Amino acid sequence: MDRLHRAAGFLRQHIQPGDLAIIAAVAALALLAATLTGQLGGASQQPDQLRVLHLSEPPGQQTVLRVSLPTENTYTVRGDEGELVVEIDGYRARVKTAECPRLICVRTGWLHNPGDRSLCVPNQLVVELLGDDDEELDEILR
Amino acid sequence: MCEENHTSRPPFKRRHLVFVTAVIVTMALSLQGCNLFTEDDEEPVVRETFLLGTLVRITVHEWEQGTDVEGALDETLVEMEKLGARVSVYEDESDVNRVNESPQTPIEVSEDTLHLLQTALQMNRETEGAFDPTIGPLVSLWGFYTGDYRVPDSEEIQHALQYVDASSVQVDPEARTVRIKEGMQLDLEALAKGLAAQRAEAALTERGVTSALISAGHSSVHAVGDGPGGRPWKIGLIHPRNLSEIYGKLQIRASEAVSTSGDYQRYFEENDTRYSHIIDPQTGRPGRTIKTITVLTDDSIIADALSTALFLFEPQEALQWADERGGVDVVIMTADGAVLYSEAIEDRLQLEDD
Repeated sequence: MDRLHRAAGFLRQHIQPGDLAIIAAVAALALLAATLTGQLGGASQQPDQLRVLHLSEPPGQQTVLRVSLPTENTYTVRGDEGELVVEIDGYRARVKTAECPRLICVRTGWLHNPGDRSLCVPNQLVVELLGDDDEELDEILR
Repeated sequence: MCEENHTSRPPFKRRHLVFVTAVIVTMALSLQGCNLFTEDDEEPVVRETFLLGTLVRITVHEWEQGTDVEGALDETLVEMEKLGARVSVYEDESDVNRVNESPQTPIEVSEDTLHLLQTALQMNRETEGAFDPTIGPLVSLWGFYTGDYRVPDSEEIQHALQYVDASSVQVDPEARTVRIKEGMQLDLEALAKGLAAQRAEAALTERGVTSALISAGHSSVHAVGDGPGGRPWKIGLIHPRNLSEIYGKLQIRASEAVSTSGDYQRYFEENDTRYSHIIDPQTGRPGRTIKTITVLTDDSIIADALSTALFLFEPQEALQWADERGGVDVVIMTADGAVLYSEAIEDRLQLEDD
């Protein structure tokens, strides 16, 4: 108890109300920055990123597009056989048009949830929505 | 005395304290970003490839000292691709396609194809026909191969059913030949994913990888070793009616495999009825009694076959079937939303609160 009293006394002498405000502000800023970069915060139901992988590229250079959501835009990415047009509408995305024989990527339609993906095998492209990873889980079966 | 000393301290000390606080807070938050607060010390190495018509993802978490992880992954993928070339319907020259293109003729196939086919036929017998590697003509009739979905009439279904009959596939293990009847289509893709995972496990383990997870598509996972630090792997089970949430978490251990089949994976709706992609080889119509089923087993080749087959059972029968067979555990969400599971996995399953 004596120690506690001494510590409290020490803090009272060294910290003034203005300091507390500064400490609080710094903590709040750090917390905000951490939340914005996705280090904190609970599992979100909405995706926060769209990522396109081109698997013909060497490992480490396969991410050819990464976009924060929500946004409104279309992007053109090049695959092995031709181009894919990826449309983003808020938190959802789809392959709008593609240069591939069976158009399975286009038929997949809108992607809504984190983990949803559209595959274009002929072009070796993976279009996928990413969300806050539940740190507790290694994989989600869907 | 003391009091006087402190009150006369110059103001830079206060600034110092504020600075230290800011540094501590910032460090604490960035440490969390580096995962030092979790069990994993290092970022896993992830590799992806298209195989067997789906995306295969290998996530390597731990390895022995001196392991060339990237090299191990390169070689593992090469082995998996070789297997795919032999057995996949997506590869023009594969055994399966050669068999399909020449009905009524015994076609020589590789050991791998023979092994997969024999396992498929064994699954067909064990599940009393619910798993059928010749289901192709029915899947095609409902439009699930092309995406041109439609509800066929009874006559069309009866016609397609003539060509769905695993028991008519002729296998000669000595000559290593397979022969199918005219109009039939063989598909071993589901089991091939499991064999590919087993090959990958062997290749990775041999090269020093001690902890990795292999996922094939969204619906099956195979564990190489236990999770990081020897913990169990934690697998989320997606809610079949809210695909941004999970309804349960299942723990799996080294060399175990899990596979999920559900009516939300591929389906279409007509007149307020949902028609899913898993067609009953007996009735020729999609299963209706289960929304989703996850099968846990130590044999990844049969995990996919069983999740497909048991999806077509009545929920209680599926549970009972798994109990009686042994080595197979299931988690089921029934058509009315009830969750059933094998007693043996009670300690490994955590259901989310509704």
